[in-house]
Amino acid sequence: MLFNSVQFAIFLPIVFIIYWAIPDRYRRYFLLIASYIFYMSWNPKYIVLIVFQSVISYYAGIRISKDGKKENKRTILRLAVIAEAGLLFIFKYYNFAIENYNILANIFGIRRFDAINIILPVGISFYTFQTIGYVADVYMGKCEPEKSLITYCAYISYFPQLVAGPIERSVNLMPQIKKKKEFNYDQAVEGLKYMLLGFFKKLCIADKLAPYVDAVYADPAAYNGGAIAVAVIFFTFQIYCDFSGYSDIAIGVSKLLGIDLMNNFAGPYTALSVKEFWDRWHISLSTWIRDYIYIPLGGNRCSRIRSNINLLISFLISGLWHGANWTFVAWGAIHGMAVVACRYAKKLIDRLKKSMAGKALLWLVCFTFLNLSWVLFRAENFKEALYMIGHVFKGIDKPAEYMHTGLIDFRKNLPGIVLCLGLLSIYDVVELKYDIFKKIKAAPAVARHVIYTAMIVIIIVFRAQSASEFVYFQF
Amino acid sequence: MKKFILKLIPYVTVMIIVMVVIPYVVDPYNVFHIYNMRNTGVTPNERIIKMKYILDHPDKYDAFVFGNSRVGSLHTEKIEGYKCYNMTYSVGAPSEFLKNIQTFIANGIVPKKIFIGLDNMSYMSDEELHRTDGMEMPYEYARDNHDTFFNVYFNPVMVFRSLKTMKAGKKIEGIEHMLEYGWWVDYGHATVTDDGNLKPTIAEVRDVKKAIDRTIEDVRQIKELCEENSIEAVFFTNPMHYVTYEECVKNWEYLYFMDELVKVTYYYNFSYPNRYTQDSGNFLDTSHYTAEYGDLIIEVLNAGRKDVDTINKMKYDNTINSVTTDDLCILIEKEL
Repeated sequence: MLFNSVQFAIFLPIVFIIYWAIPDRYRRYFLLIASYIFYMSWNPKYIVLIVFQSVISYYAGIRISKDGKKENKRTILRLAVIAEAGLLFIFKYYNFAIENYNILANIFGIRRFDAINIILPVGISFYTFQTIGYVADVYMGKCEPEKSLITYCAYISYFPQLVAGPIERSVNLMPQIKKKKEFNYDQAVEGLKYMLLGFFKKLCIADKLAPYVDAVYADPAAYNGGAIAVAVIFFTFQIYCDFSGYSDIAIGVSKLLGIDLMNNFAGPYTALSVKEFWDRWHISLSTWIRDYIYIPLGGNRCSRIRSNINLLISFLISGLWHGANWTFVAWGAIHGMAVVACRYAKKLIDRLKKSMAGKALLWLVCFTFLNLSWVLFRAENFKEALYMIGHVFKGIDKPAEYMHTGLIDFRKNLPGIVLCLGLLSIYDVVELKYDIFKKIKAAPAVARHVIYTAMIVIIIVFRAQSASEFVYFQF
Repeated sequence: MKKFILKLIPYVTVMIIVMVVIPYVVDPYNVFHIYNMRNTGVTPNERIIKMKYILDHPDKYDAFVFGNSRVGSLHTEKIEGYKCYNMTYSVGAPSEFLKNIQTFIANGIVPKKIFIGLDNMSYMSDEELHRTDGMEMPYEYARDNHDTFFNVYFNPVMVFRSLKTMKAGKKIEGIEHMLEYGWWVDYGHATVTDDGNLKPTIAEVRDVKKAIDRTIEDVRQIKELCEENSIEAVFFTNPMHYVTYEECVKNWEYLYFMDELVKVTYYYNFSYPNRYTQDSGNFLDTSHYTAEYGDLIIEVLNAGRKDVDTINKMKYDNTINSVTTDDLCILIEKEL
């Protein structure tokens, strides 16, 4: 069930009321049941896989901690990672691998293999990383293995973040699931604020932009440069609002249950460099990749060249994590190269940051790069991506016509879109310096209620008609 | 916790009133008031209303007419040998008719005969664009997409915008007998005045050939579905006002449509230029023909395929003109 669905609007209040009504010692059992019900609403069969993966990693953690020998611990870790990643590979990457193998098989005249008919379980990329992260943390001694299978399964399947993150760490989430909780009014109110913000981003921006983006990407040859440029920029905001909106709702729902999830976005489009962008975008994934791939590879505790190679490998894996398509790998690769370039250009970047004009230039270069790289992310294949990028500026020599054809298909919705994007931009910029939710909390009661009412009215008035899935569900 | 819930109650209450109660009560498109439809001045969602009505009364009809609003002139109670219902709805596309017929069959309603009216709007309509429109949301889409249904019909903004139309006092034709017959154009309807400035009824389509090919494929699937279920399917092209027809054939598209259609099925061609389509007295506007003209079509459909000579020699009398009807319709059975 989607967060923006009638089903969830019924599910959440029931879960909330029962959760706080039952004694604390039963809450993790109830959380587990609610999470499994939430997950099975997509497809009841999915539950088998998540339970299986939870049990593998649970027992791996126990075995690692019990075994005294380091080599055995390492072996168990490797087996667990192979098992978890192997299942992810089968469900997500097998057909992609076979497709590419068959290309080579045709060239060399060797045996081909058939693709298998397999459904990608929702959220598998997210919870697989959580299971691997847990086993690695136990191995590295960062956390004790969880003794209760119920608690552990509740951690892996915790419904607010199950299908699209944030990718939580066991040291953050599991203790909160286990600890005795009293209802915290301020935390719950903050949760509602996060949910309002998330719904605003998802319903008023992402869902409004989606039909236009989908239409242009489905048939780019039918549109001219202005329309393609608008679709490119719209997707930049669609994916941000869709994904960060989901994260905000997840954080908010979790706060209602007395649990704090990690922040996943921090105004990414205010970044002045691609390196800074990755400090602000999908933070849970980028820190996971840093801690479990980049650092184990050597991180930057080696030569500069080696460190850059480690970085590129990390970004390639990040790209591949997003999807079984070379376009995602290429997207990861160019981001990796851009971050490496930022390392070499650090002095120049620091110098430019000292002036407003310099900052503006840095922002423009970074934002343009992000827009164009998102094309690779969104396009079905390289041909489509190259067509889009190659035609973005077509017709710009006639600016009036360029703008007109770019805006014509959604001119009815344009004022609403501009208003909502404007509000979001202001929020993200102000949030860099001030904790807006704290400021709201400190405001007089009348002002607070006016703000809440205004947000609700904006969502009701400007929300899109059609409900769509969250983009990151496909990962 | 108590303080939290108490503070939430006013917000939740107001939201339920604004987002659920008011839209449900006002219901400009009558999707919640199928059996006590109000003439709100807003065109009701006939797709949802008619499908729900037929599914609630599975044994009442054994034949249906499908088509866009143009077939709304056909008084289907005059179809001989069948209890026929008019499933006309605005800008209806063959892809929607196909889904409706599939829904009927899945619910045990297997008609003996269906009539499908086609014309330029058949390929100029895009079902996908109907999905988030209160007036045009298809029944099957509404049934399977609860969240979009909620967003569209439990939408206070939509209700607020409809109030202006509702206050204007305009009445929608055909509501009184929508459930009994389905047609909306009654006899004696005023016709359009031909002052030489009439505008054709067309819609903008990005890729016309693709749209036509897709529509023809939908027609083929309807025909196949009917054959599989022993349903007699009769296709015809609606009469088109000459201004609209000329616009559609100017860029070859309607001719291409008709040529492709005969590859799939024979059909009665009422749309080609003849003395009736040249006469604005037979049309409400450059899109819809009169109920009187609809009766002539029904006579042809009643006569059936065997009596081609009869079709071509029928008389047509009305109080305005008396003309011979030897060119009312051509039966198209093979490619020219």
